[in-house]
Amino acid sequence: MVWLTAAVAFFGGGVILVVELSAVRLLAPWFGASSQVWTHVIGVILLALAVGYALGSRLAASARPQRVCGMALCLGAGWVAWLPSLTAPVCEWLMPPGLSLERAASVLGWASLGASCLLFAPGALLLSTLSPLLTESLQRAQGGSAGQAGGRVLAAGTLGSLAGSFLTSYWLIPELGLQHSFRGCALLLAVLGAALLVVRQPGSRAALVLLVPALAGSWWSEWRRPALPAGATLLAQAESSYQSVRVIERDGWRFLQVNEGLDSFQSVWQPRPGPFGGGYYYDAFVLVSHWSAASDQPWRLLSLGMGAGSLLRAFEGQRECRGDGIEIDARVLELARTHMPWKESPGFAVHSGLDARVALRQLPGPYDQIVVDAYANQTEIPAHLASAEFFALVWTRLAAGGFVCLNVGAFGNEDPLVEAIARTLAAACETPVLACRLPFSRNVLLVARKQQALPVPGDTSFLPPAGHSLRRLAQALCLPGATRLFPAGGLPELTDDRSPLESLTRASLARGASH
Amino acid sequence: MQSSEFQAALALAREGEFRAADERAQTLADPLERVQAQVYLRHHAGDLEGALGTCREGLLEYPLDAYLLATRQELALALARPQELVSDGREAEQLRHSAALLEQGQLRAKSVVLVSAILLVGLLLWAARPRTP
Repeated sequence: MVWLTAAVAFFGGGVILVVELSAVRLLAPWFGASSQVWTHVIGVILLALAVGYALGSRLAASARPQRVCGMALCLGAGWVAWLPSLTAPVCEWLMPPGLSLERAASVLGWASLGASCLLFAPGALLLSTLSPLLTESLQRAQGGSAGQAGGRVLAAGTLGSLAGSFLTSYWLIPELGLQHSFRGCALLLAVLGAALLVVRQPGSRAALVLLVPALAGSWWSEWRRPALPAGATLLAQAESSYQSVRVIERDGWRFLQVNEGLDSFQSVWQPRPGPFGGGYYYDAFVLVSHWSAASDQPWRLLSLGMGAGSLLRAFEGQRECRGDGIEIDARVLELARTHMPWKESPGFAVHSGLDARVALRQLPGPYDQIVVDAYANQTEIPAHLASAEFFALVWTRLAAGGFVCLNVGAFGNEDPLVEAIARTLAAACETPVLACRLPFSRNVLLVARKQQALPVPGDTSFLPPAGHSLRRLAQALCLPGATRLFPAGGLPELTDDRSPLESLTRASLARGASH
Repeated sequence: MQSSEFQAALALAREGEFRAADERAQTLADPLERVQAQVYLRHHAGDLEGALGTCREGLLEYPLDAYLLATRQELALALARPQELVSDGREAEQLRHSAALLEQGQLRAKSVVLVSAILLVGLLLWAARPRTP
């Protein structure tokens, strides 16, 4: 009896943590995995736990708490089993498919909170009734004080949670995937529930019928990702350690999408090498390299957040690149090498599994161009990659006359996110920063140059020669309002200590949706 | 009848020489041609926001101009702005439908959160109250 109680407390605590940590991954393809979504999921689960503890304490007064505990386990098993297949319909009910990123932004917060309530509150509530019920059972079976029984149950449950947290991150999600992890948890709860219902519980066997939803769910429940855009075919998809990733193809072009990609993408690939044309911001990075006089030398490039290598694809045939590329998600590079290949060269080293800032500390430079295009999820620039301290570090790795370029997903040069990052860069490096609103896109390029002046839009040094594939882009940037110069100096708005990047991103998306 | 200067400005924009096209457009004598050329070149330069804004301003002066009306419709669809649409059609209907779905989703999400909060807090208060013997 003691061992069964300890096992239920241990595995119940473990499953709650598995569900809590996997919950964000279930929601990520619709709402992302931002700290806002984490806050909603954890907040809802904590409220449900509080209610479950109170409810469990009330149910503990029943004649047979062990039987109630078994029933809660069986119901909880059914809920865990069906969670993957319930996610898509609930999320699509709250956030209709086919929305653009900026329009969806207005509903992301409420929808992720609503989905958390519907999907995660019932199960967390059921499983949290276990602790008081087990405590009561243990005290009745063994005697002793309530504190003694409660302490033992809490210790077993907390150890289970500890195991659940490590297992989820290091084995369940990367090795088994979400669907099998939930199936496994459901079966584990079902076995424990059945054990409690049949062991020395006369008349409880009828309650085993509660296991039917769990067993059915374990067999049929299936997690579905968001639908593909019209006319697109799926080439590959994976759950990496960081995100949901998929490669889709449309009209011969390939796109890497992550999490709540909606109508946007993280990387693009076309069959023909070189600049992409249209509204693909990678071309702007190549344009910047033309602003340097030394066009016959290999271009020393550092790409921080290289994704599936679109930047290198755009450079192909334009300049010979030497240097380094950093991508934190090794799975993205695996998919890219298979489905979105670029011309790899021995002079350009690709490093995976490294954070851009950590890698930057190890790379001595100097580089002619450092491109910062690192995003967490779809819309969030990691705070430590947009702080004054980070920009100061980047500056030390630039050669004289070198450029630092940042891609900022934003709606124009007056966007609050653009202003904050540009002013921080201008302050940290004590240099003017040019903001370029890129045509046919929702991206702004920020450029600063070390020890030399930036070219003025419209000057001959700004424009590639007539007939060049990037001249049209440069000409578009010469129109009034397309660029904005932020003066050198001032106070940085974003530091390692204080960085309101997430609220700025939300303000930016709201601005885009309100036009 | 469009002036040759107007045609020249448009030709420059088509070639991607936007700065020269802009300079030429600003010197056009006819104010309607000036607006049309500005809209055209901004549209082709990828400044869809700017083109829509210029179009909107132009329509205040020339509300029946067919080019400005058609371009505003095209830009409203490209930027998914149902409030900027000037006429109906299948695509416009889809855009309005999508906007209505978004509002519905928002309402649903807020209702779910409200009802869940009431239920959970109510259950908590009920479960936590002292039991009478």
